[in-house]
Amino acid sequence: MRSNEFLEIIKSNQGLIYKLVGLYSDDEEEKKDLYQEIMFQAWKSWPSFKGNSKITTWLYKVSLNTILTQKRKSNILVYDKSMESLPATVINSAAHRDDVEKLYTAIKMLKETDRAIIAMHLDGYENEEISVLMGISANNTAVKLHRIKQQLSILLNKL
Amino acid sequence: MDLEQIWKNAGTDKTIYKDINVTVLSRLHSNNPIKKMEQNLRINIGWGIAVCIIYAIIIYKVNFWQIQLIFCLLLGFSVALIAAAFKMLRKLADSDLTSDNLLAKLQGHYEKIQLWLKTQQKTAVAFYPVSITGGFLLGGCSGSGKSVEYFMSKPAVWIILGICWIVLTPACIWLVRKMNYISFGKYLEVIKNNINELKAQ
Repeated sequence: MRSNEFLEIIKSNQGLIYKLVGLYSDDEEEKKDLYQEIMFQAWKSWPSFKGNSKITTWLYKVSLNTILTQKRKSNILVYDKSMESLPATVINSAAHRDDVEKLYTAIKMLKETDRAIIAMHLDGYENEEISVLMGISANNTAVKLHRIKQQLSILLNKL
Repeated sequence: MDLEQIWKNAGTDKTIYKDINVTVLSRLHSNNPIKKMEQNLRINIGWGIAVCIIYAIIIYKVNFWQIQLIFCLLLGFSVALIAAAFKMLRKLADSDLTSDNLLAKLQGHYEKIQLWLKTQQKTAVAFYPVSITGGFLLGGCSGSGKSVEYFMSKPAVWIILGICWIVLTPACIWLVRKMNYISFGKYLEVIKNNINELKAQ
């Protein structure tokens, strides 16, 4: 049964979806809504999935396209272009957290599309794969990734 | 810090649906703005058909040819709007979120919503003056019990009708824009910003 296969895939990849949702929302209710919307979109698109790409790549595509076209509450953490100073509340809230939470906090301070790019990179995707999913050139992906890594490094040092 | 390893450990223990099954899936519905627009369009089409029936009854019942003419125009507008709504429904229908890359999806989404908003505004510009005139004549003639010729023979009535056009038409158009901005303004800004960010080097 295709539906059982789908359910197994969703169950075994809940962590991936949850990670992505967490990058774009702080509100628990909104996270649940986003998660449900991703499930709905994935379920609707499931018959057209022919297995030409990895299942995780397909789920990444569904998740990112769903999250970024969805109406969301604005993120409290606003990206500071100069990155010279981080709000005290952000530093204090991250001070006693573990590395995972620090990384989350730092990524959530990036621009929305940059969060998607770094998430894919950290999940082991090549620049070529990221560029296909994002709809930008591989060269542009490499340039963006270089800049994102620099920003992330600065942010992590400050947290 | 090995960021890849930290990232791999993040969120892997989280389960939102422990007992996910086919029943849960069948109960899911979309809250995507495009999907909601589709639903609104269907409701609008339903109301549009109802309004057309009411216009047709008014045309049949009213004896003044001027009012019949105005309501014929309104009926024509409404039929055209219903046809446009069907056309738009077809354009919105392709909402498979896996069919394109992120940039193309965002651009498509942005254009569809813009098209919807522009259609709403164009409708307001074309529809409200005729609608105001129709309502004014129908209310005035049925209230006074006089013919349209008699009712409109007084200069004061023309002045009042003019004031209604001048005040109500821009007010309604402003209201449409305001409501559209409240509903989609910020959302569209975010999408536009993400499109620009992806395109930027």
